[in-house]
Amino acid sequence: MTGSRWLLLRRVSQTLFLVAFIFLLLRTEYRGFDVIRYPVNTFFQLDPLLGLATLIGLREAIGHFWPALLTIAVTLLLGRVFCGWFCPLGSLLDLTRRLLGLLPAPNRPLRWQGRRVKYYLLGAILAAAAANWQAAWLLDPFSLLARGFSVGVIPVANSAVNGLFNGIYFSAPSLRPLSEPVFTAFKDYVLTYEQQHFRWAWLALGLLAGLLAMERWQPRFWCRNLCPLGGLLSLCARGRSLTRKVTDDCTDCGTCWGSCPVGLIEEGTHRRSQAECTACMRCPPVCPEAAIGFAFGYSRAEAPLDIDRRRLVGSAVAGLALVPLTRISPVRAAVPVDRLRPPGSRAEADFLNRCLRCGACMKVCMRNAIHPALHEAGWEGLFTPVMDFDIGYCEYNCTLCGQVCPSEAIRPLPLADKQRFVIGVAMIDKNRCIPYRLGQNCMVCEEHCPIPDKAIVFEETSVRGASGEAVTLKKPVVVQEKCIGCGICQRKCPVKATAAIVVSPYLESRAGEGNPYGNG
Amino acid sequence: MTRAIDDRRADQELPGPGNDRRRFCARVIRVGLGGAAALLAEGLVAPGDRWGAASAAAPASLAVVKGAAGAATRRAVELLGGMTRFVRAGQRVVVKPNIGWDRTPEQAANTNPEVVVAVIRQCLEAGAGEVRVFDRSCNDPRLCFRRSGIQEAVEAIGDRRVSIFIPDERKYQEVAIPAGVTLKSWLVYEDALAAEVFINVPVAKHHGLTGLTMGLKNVMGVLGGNRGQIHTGFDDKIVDANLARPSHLTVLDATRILVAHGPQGGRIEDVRFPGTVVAGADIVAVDAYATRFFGSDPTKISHISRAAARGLGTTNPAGVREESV
Repeated sequence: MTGSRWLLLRRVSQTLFLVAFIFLLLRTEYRGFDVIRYPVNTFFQLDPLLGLATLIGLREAIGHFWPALLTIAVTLLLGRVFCGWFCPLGSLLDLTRRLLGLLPAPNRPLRWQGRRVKYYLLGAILAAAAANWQAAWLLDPFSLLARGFSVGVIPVANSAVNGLFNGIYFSAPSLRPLSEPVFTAFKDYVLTYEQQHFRWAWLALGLLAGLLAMERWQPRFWCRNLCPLGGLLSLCARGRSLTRKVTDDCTDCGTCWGSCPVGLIEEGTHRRSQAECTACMRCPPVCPEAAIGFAFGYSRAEAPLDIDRRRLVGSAVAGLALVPLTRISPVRAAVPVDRLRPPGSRAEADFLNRCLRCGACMKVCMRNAIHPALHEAGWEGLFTPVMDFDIGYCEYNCTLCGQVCPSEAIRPLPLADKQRFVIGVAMIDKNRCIPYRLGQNCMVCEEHCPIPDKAIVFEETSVRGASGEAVTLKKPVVVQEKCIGCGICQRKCPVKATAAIVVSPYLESRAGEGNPYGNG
Repeated sequence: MTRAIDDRRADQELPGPGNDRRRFCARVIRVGLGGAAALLAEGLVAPGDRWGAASAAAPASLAVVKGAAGAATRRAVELLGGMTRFVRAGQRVVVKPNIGWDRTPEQAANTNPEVVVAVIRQCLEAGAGEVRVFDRSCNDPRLCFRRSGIQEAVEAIGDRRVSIFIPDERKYQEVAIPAGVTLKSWLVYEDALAAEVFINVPVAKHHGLTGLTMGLKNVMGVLGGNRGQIHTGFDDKIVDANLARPSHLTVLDATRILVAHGPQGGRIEDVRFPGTVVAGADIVAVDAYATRFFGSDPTKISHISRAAARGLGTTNPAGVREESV
């Protein structure tokens, strides 16, 4: 019967979009071409919450987000189908419920009906965006999912698979002819090239895991109560054409109560069509009288959206009120030493307005040099990308981070411009550097400096070796005008644990753009 | 003439002027053919050579050939006596080029792909069982293998015996270096250790620390561990590394050389074009000869002097052959 067929179609759609999302995430990686050929940003482009928040925050339309109008158009016509059919986080939540054995959805009576909260959060986010504080990323489903996967799930999965195959490699060498070809296939198509390590990965992973765990209490807890994108789409769905219709065959038997994953069908509401309906098609097959269906045509039994207008205004005010709190953050007075931004990044205020904290740049960085910040950029900079040159460095001929940034917080620079963009300047600590401190030659930093005419040169002096012989000592000196702070010197420096040459944000290119913090 | 030889067998008991003459002619032919065969077998006369041409001499100990990259490589190895002097049928060969840096072939930071391919082809012609090609890059290996042009060129050979790959981090083994002075042991790549023939194919370059980097230094590409930590007391460490993995043959690429800002370079202005390939079994001799491309000499490059002092080879070999093709 048609109800079951639509149900099946919806599941197929969810699976396809979730697989596509993960596939594009896995393709956000160097795969042998200097330019990434996959549309890895597609999902972000389709997200109207991010589009709207950046539009309000920047007071200009980012062309990148035009496809989000498509999502709005579909919602205006068909209602909140995005949440039921396309959203990968929604699909993941459904999958989690299935894996935890919680389907069919038993809607346990939960005293807290927090359905309104998502509208308040939406109001707070948009109000804050108007006051130049970008918070959409914190609660946007794509941002959450991409971040959680990029710095958490994918590295953990990699580690598990690597661990399994390396375990076989070392402890059961006779199995290598079987295991190694499989491992190679994984490495070629699924795994990241090298194991990635991210700072604060547990936090990003924990937030995502927490969301999934909430399914334990209420199905689609996130979608019902918290998701601001869901709130936005529910608002757009109010005038929709595709609605749920219950015919007069309904006997009020109550079989359908509790079948709705977003909890819209309970005693008293089972005949209604509501804007928050995700058209998941679970309710039609359940009805013994076949009285439930979905059809085009405005429904007079529409339930109004349950929002308290006063609380909505209150949440907007709260969003605005948080802004001065961020303005008094100490990071606005002095730049923390660890805040090095990827090459091509905009000046800080603009950067924070645009950055979606999606983790795409972190995932794509060839040498695992980009990491989420905790408080290095202030709390408003949580999860924004910062460079860590103890773990990685910025490859001279690579422009991948600028290519994948969905909002151009990191601008896509032509290679020649990127090679002139100053991330910072390398500074030698003469108390740690081997030639200065130990009187022995080293020069690993100079060797690896990619600037064609070298941003590290050496001073030659003659010293006495251990047996009294004359030794020519070469001491490295940084040529500040040429150094772009790529960090390879810091990364390769043999001195542990803090390298003897460290990149400082001193003289970063962004400061020259008139850092609105006034501390460039 | 052949008939005279056959007749000799039939006539061997019959004396007489006709038979004597035939016997004499047959003997001359036999000696002549045998002698020629002996000369051929010793490789002293290359087939197809004009009789009395320049190569009618012992194999060179050091071959220096100027010409197009592939042709010069071939000729250099031929002058040494041919690749069969180094590679026997069925052997495991490792060809170790310099794929250290994310630079194009024109920037001369890696070995010229044409030189690498010419070496590999000669190994295959000599009957190698397998040829493995790798290096432990300093930049991201994916970039280095691609931009150096070496991966594409080697894969284009299209022979199943040839494999080029980025080293597997699991395959480094700790090896003892009994004769080591400063390095008593270090991690070395398994495939390099298991090679029956190790052919070192460096590119000649300026180097900020050592002055120049050529064959002796190129061996570092088979070392594992934190190589940055062995840059102090480098001269002896380079020699110790060569003891851990000696080279059977060194084919040095001086077709394009980097004369400044090495070993990575980047500026085309720093590249010169001697258009020459230097080859020899004595790695010290090869490196010593190649210093002259930079207007230097082995006494000025401390790791070469040290290698000679510790008996790895000589900086002043006899039997140097210089040619152009």
